[in-house]
Amino acid sequence: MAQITVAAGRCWRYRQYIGRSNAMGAGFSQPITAAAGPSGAIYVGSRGATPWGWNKYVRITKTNSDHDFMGEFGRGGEGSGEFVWLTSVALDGDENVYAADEWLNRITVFDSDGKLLTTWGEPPHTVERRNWDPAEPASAQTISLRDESIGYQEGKLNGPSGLAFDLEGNLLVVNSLDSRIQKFTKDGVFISAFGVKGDGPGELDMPWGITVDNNGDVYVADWNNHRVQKFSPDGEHLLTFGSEKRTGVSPDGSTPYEHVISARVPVNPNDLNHPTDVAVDGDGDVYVADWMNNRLVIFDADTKPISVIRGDAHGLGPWAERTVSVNPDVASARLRAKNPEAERYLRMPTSCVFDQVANRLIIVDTWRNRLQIYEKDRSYKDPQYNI
Amino acid sequence: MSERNDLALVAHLMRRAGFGADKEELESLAAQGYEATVEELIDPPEEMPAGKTAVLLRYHPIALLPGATTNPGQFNWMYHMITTKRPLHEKMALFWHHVFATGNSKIDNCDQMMEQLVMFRRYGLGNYRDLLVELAKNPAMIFWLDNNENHRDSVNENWGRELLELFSMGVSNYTEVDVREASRAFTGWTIQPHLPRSPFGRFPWQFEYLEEDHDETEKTFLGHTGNFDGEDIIDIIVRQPATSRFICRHLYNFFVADDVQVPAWTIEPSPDEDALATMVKAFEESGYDMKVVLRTMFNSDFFKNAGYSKIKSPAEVVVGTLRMIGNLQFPEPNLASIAPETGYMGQALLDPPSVEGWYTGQEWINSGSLLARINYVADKVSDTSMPGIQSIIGHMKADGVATPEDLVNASLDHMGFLELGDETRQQLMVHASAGGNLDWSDGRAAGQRVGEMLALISATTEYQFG
Repeated sequence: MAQITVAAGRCWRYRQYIGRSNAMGAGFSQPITAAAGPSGAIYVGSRGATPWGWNKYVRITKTNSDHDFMGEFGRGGEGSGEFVWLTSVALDGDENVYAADEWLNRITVFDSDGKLLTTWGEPPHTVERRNWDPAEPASAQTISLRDESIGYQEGKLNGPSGLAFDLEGNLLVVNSLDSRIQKFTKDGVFISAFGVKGDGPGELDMPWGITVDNNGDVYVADWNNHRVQKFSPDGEHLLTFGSEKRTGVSPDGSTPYEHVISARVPVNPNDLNHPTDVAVDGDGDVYVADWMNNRLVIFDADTKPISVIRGDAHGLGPWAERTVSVNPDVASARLRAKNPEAERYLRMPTSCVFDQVANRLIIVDTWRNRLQIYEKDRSYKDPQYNI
Repeated sequence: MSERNDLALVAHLMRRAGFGADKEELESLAAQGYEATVEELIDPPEEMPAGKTAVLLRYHPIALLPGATTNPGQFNWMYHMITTKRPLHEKMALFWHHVFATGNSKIDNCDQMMEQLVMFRRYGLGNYRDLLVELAKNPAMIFWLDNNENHRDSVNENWGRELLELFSMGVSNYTEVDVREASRAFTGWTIQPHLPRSPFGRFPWQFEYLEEDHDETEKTFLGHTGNFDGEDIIDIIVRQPATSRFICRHLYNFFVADDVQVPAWTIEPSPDEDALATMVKAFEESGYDMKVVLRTMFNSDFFKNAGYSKIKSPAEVVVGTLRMIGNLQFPEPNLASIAPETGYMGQALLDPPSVEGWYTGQEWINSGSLLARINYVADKVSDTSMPGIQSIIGHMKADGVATPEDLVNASLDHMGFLELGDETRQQLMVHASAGGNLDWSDGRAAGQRVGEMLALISATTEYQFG
C-alpha cells in the first residue's frame, strides 16, 4: 500500500496518525470533528455513545502532532459546557473553540484551554404535534420535534451539524434538519441564510460539514444528495462535486460492512456515498470525506476527481503503544493477524480539515478512533516508470 | 373501500410477514390485493431499503461497531425493524436468528452479530442450501460453535452436531457416527487470525479455509461415502426428507400457528400435517427455494385461517407497538432505551438463551412477562402525544366516531382490524359505554378515551396473539 498519494504536480505524503480508542484522556471515542489552530494544537470532538442515557464519552480533546495530551473539556449532559450530540468544532482567530450540539441546538464556546466562555443559539419554536383538533390549544400536546417537519425558522438552530468561520470572522452554521446555511456573528447574532431542501442545484438535503476557501466561497457536504456544493459568499450556487449518483446503502444494509479490509474501494471516485465533510487548501484542491465509501476523495478546483486516500496508518503511535504494551494478548494477536494491512484503512471518515499553517490534511477516522495526517508536497515530479 | 374481511386478512398477513401496519397502509394493500401484497413482501422493489441505516449511523455511530456490548446492536436491529420497507426480509432475519441462534454472550463481538444479520437479509429468502453454506462460513457461527477449534487431528463436534440437530434435520434422523463424520468434513473451516480489538476498535472477522488442517480422508455420512468437504455434507443434508420437514415445521411454527417446542417434534405430530406436507412439497420441488415455500404458505387457506393462533414474540410486540405509535422514525438519543425491552419479556435479541434459541408459543408467557407485555403496549398506545396515536384520533374524529360502539369498532380497526370474541367485546363495550358518547368539542378528553380503549385492547388475547 502506497504511503503517498499522487496527482499531477502534487502529492500527499502520509505523515502520522494520532489516536487510539479510549474513553478518556489520551484517546478518542468515535471522533467526529477536528480543528487545527495556529498554535499547532488540534481540537478533536468525540461523539461518544448514547446507549445508556446521556452521552458518556463525549468530549473535546486537545492534542498536537507530538501526541501530547493537552487536556479535554466538555462532557455528556444538558448543562452548560455539556453535550448530548456534539457534531462540529471550529476555531476563531483567538483559537477559541466553537462547538455545535445538534440535539440541544446550541453553540458552546470555550477558550483554547477549555474554559467555558458562553453558549448561544435557540432551537426552533416548539412545534405542535399535528394536534387532531386544530382549534384546540396545544399546551401539553406539544413537543419539540427533531425532524424536518418543523420547517425553517430564521435564526433558529435546527440540527447544527457543521461550523466554519468566514473571512470576516462570522460563523457559518449548517442547519442539517432544515437544509439551511445560516451566518451569525461570533456572539450569535443572526446575519443571513441561504439554502433550501431539495436535490436541484443549490438545494440541500441533510447537509453536514462545511468549509470556506481563501476567496470566501463556501463548500457544503450535501450528505443525502451524495455531493458537495460550492457557493459564493452570498449563497449563489457555483459548482457541484461528485456525480450525485445515489448508491446509498444496499437494500440488505451491507454497505457499512463492505470495503473495510481491502485497499481498493471499487467505486468510481466521483460516486460519493453520503459525504460528511469537505476541506479546501490554498491551491483550491478540494477534499471530501466519502463516508460510506471509507475513503477521502480529492478533487481539483474544477470538480475533477484527481486522487483517493484510502488510509495509511501503521505501526504503533505513542498512545496506541500504551494500550498494547500493557496487554500481552493484544500484542500477540497483532503478531498473529494475517490481515495487518487492514489497520491502515479509513473506516467511514467523518471529517477532514486542511491546516494551511502547517500544510497538513487531517482526516478524522471516526470508527478507528484516530486522526490520519498527510502533508501536501507541491513540487512533486513523477519519476520515469522504467527507473 | 375494501370489505372488512379483506382488510382483516391483509392485516393478518402484515402481522405475520412483517410487524403490522397502520389502517391507511392496510387499506392501500387490500386495494392492491392480497396476492399482490404477498409478492411485494417477497420481492420488494430494489430501492426499498432495509431501514434507515445511514441515518442511524449518522446519529448513533456506536451502532455500527458495538464491540462487546449488545445494547447498540439490539437497538440497531430494532431500528431497522421499525423503519424497514422490506418487512418480510427483516422478519426472515428474525426467523433465522431463532433457528440458527447465535449469541453475543459468547461471541463478545456484536459487530459480527450485525454482520450475520446482513447475511440473513441477503440469503434468508434465497436457497436454503446456499444459506447453510454461508452459515457454515459465517465467522460468528464458527466461533459460537467452536469450529475454529475443529482440527484435522483434533475434531470438535459442536458445529457438526448442531448443524444436524438444530439447523437442518432434527434429532433421531442421524447417528453419532454421522455427527463425527460431518464434523470431520468441516475441519479447516475457520476464522482468519485478525487484528485485536485494541487499540483501534474491531476489525472484521473473515472466513478462512485451511487446507492443511482439513481432514480430506474418506468419510461415510448418512449412507454416502467419499472424501467429503463441508459443502458435500450440506448437499447431502438438504436432500434429506427430514430436513425439509424440519425447516418447514419451523416456518409453520414461526409464521402460521404455535407448535409444541422443538425437542418434542420427534414424538408429537405437527398441528396440521396436511399444511406441513404442502409446504414440504413446495420446498422440495423448488430445490429448497425459500421464496417458493413462503409464497405457498402465505397464499394457502391454512395460513389465511390461522388468525390468533400464534402468540406474538416479544420482538413482534415491541416493534409492532413502536411502528404503530409512529415515533422513533428519527433516531433520538433515547433510542437505546428500546434495546432491553424485548429482554424484559423474555427475548433478548442477539443473545438467545442457548443454541436452541427461544422456546416459543405459550413459553413466552409467564406471570412476569405477561404483565411486561401488556403494560408496555398499554403505556405506549395510551400516550396520545405519539404521532401514530394522534393520527388514529384524528381519523376517528374525521370519520365521525361518536357512540361507544363506534369507539370500540374503530379502535379494533386501527389496531389491525381485530376480531374479538363476544365476551371480550362485551367487556370493552361496558367500559366504552360508561363514558357515553364521544364529545369532540373536548378534543383532549375524547383523545384520552381513545387512548384508554387502545390500551384495553392491547391486553386482549386477540391482540397478544395477533
